[in-house]
Amino acid sequence: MSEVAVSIRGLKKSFGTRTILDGIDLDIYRGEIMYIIGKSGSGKSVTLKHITALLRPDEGEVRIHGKNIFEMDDKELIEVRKKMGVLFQMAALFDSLTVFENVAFLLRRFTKDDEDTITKKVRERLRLVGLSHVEHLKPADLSGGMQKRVGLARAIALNPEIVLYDEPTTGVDPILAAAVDDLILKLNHELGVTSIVISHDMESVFRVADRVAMLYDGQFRLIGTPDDFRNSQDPVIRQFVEGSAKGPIPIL
Amino acid sequence: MIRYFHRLGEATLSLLESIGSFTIFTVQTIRWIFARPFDVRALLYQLQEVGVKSIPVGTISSFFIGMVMALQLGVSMEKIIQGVSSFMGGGIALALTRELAPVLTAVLLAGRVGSSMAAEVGTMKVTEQIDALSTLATNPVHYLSVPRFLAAVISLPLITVMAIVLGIIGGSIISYVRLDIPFNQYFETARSFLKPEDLISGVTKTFFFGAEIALISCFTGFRAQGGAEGVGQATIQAVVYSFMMIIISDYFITYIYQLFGF
Ligand SMILES: Nc1ncnc2c1ncn2[C@@H]1O[C@H](COP(=O)(O)OP(=O)(O)OP(=O)(O)O)[C@@H](O)[C@H]1O
Ligand SMILES: [Mg+2]
Repeated sequence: MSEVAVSIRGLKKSFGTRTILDGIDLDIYRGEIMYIIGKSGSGKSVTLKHITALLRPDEGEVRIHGKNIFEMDDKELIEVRKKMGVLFQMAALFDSLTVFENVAFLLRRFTKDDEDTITKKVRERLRLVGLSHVEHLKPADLSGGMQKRVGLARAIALNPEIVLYDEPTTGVDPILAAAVDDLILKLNHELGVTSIVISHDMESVFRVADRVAMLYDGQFRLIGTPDDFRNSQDPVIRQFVEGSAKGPIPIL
Repeated sequence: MIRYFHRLGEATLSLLESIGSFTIFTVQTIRWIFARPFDVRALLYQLQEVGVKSIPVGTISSFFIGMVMALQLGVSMEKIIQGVSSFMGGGIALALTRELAPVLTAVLLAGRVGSSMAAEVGTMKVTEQIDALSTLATNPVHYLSVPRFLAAVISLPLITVMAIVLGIIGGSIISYVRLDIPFNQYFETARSFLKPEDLISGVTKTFFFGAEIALISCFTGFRAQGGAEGVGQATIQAVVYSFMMIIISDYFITYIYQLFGF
């Protein structure tokens, strides 16, 4: 197999007395599309926040291209983060800036591009996520789905090598959801982006994922291809894949 | 009883933890001032928000403080100490320069600017915008705290100088209109009472007040948690702690200055 882009080893995290991650291991290869699934509150976003070093683990490590991000100083971390794009679950757009300024944020800070080039690049990124004529609006004036797509345009502005998506298709209509899936595939095929996608949307999972990891009870219950998930006899996996309320997964 | 000690212990620990984090935050903010890229646009924007927009509040309030002092010295004090009103200009100038204008301006700024800094940074915190900043390879202290800190440290002394001038003018008008003290006598005593060290003492301490306001307000914003309620809490804390720190540090700064003859 090819080179490992992101490697998670023995990651543990508790909030107070509640253990969310109980020692998870996962390797994500360069150019791969890895989906992380699991029920609401299982710790998917928490996992993502460790991969981006927004949270520090109680134990364990995350290596990006071989280097443990929890041992990096500010400078190294900034360099690593320039190569990562993150789409937040709630988009997390800067609400004091316009859509244009949000998408231009990285270009303004880290490139020497002139204003014309920046405008061109911002428009192109926005078109890529299916948006136009919204540059001058503030995030508060956009719908949830539009905010998410602006968040995605902002995340990929500097052509990152690794993109992390936290539920890119939640709150987006089915047609746009398919378009977002296509975008993930396109970035992956054309630019060789390594993608880590958090999702509940099993349709997307089966359409887009190279591999899937399912979080359950603080551990990865199964890491495998979409076919492994389809064919799994594990009742926990079956219940999640089929989307049934009946089964071993407690709802409350 | 044991429960009581347990609680006391916890409260002490959490206070120590906050002081520790605040110290680290202060050091980080000062360290990041010198990091690249230096965001001139953000600084200019904050100078506008923190400085220019605070000028009316600061100067108008001080103008009225000058007028009130003229009434107090000229009417109330005159009844007890005859002839005190002939030193009117000097008394007002001295009190305003050394104490009233710096503290009043700082307190007004803490209310106006501290609350908005805490609310803005706090909202960014609870809506994950601060996390987003980090993932966009931008240190949140560098991006948010540094321009606010610099703007407060630059603006407060300047507004204080304006407040001193306006306060003295306010006093002179009431002295003339209500107490028949001629302008030249008023300004003559002001000039002879006021030493350069009074101005240095009064204005330089606002530099510390400005730093306290910005640091406390950004800090409480960064620690905001749990939605709109958390932002509200952060805002209250920013204003209350800023007020307290201004008054408490005023005493110590003045005490230290006096050791050096200011
Ligand atoms: N900063 C935090 N402090 C305390 N608890 C937290 C924190 N962040 C997350 N949690 C808790 O960790 C658990 C996992 O949260 P997480 O956001 O990872 O869930 P998720 O799998 O992303 O769910 P969803 O699909 O609903 O987004 C939740 O129970 C949440 O309450
Ligand atoms: Mg989540």
